[in-house]
Amino acid sequence: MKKILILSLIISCGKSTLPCPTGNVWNPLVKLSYEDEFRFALTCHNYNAAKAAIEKEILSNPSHDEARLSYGTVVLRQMGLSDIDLALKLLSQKSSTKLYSEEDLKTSGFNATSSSTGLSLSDFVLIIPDSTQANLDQINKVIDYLTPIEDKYSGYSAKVNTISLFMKLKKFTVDPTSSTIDLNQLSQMTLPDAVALIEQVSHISGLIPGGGTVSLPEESMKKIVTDIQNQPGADDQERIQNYIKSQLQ
Amino acid sequence: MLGVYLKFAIHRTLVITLSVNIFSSLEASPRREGQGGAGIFAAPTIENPAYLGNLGDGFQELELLSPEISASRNLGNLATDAMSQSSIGTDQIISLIQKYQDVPFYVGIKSSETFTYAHTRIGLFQSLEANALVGTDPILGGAEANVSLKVATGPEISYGKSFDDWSVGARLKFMKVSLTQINLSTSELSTLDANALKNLSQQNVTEGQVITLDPSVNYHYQSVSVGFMVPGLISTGKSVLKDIRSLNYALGYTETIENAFRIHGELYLTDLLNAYKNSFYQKIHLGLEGSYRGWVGFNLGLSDGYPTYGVFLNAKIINLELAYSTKESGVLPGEHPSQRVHALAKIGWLL
Repeated sequence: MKKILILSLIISCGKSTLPCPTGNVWNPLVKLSYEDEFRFALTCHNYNAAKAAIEKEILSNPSHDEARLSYGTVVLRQMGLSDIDLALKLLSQKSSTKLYSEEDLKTSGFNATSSSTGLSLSDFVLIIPDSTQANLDQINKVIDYLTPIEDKYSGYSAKVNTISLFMKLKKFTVDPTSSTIDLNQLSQMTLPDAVALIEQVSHISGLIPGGGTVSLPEESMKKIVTDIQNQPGADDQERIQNYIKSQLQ
Repeated sequence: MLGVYLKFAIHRTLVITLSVNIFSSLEASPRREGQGGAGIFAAPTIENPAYLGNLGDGFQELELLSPEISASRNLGNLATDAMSQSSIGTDQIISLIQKYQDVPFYVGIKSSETFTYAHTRIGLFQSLEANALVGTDPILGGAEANVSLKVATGPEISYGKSFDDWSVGARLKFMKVSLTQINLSTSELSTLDANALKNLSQQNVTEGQVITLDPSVNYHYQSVSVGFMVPGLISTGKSVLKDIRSLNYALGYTETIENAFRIHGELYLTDLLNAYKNSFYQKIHLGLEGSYRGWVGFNLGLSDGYPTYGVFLNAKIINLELAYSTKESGVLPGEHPSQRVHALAKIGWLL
């Protein structure tokens, strides 16, 4: 009887170790492994708890590739970019512009099997979450975790990089299909933003095949980058600053 | 890109609509479900054939019809959501999948016709159970679907014998079983088409005959009852179809007040041999039943760590049982709770 009373006390007063309330009376007694904790948290959509569990695991076991991948999966789900979320969002978009070939889609990591219908750049940018600093920090962290294993999981890395790229692009322009970024716009940005913009637009220029109906100023961007590189300065940021100053004079 | 996801969407639509999955068992009646899966001694139960040893001589029971249904509550929510749509297209179906991902669905239907004479019971049983879950691969984020469907039908015979405070019994089942189990990963989903799905369904069906012997032994001393059940002690057939041998233990206490009110409490421990590899918490079942002259009563319980409830009406020619329980579909308690409703209507000349 005494044991039963003690057990009841533990059950009623114990603090749950689970990342979410489940209404299960045995919760206080459950000891979770990393996999359990992460899986539990994801199931009940407690993404912060899931990320915390993964980060703890990566810290103690940096060679745990699956944990690194899992972090990206959690962040994408939190941003509403899981495969199912994307499918639903994309279905609600009206696509008119075809940007990608079948081969591009395959290498993008989006499990592409068909390109009978294309997704316009504007459509895609619309479904990407806003470029808040929190979102950017999150996606950058995902990329950081994926970097050591990007060769091994190239498709997944490409997917995250594509999302990151469009998210950053979304920060700089209301109309994502705009092909020009003028220097006034550039000069009004903070230095990190300007660097990021140039980097990202340069990447887009390299990624998007020439056959698309949207043409980004690849040559212009290359020239800007070359001009920046030719500026005096100890590092890239200083060279960009000098470049903007020179252009505004 | 849109085309890609349209195709994905259609695949998933196929998976959710065509994947009906069956496993587990419908052994416990709603009256026992309301007692947290316990209640072995609260009423005659097929899982404990030793009870037959305590019956008198001559005709005991004729069960003409006993339709029973057990379903996850989210099926009702899903139906409500689906009916609230002005039209059901791919968009709507994907929206539903998104809402119900990681939520297990279950439905079980059972019926039996039995005849009990003295200490022997013969019967014919039919059951169908389906489980479906569209979940997300926690590593790569892709959707994955698990579906199973089990159909079983066949005759069985049970016999019990009592010796003073002891009673023993056994049930022999002859079942024809069909089991379909489909597990689809993201990569499989992405290459799935109608033909592939058809092939998968055909390739993943296992059919066969299963013969199983389930013995039990009870000991009654005044208000206390103790019992051991060994489901699947002997079971022949294909390994995925046959019953797994396990050992269950029941400890019950019954108190009768003024020969009218009866309170029965029970602890039921299942799978003591750990054959199903469930966590310890899923092996514990606690039940309480209160009844008036055995005609009407209520059930309370705890199963898989979740509370259960039920009510029953036990007239001589009709039995009605209703229960509400929560099953744990995940590995650990609290991981994938599946809330279920159970209903049974039994018609005949009943115990």
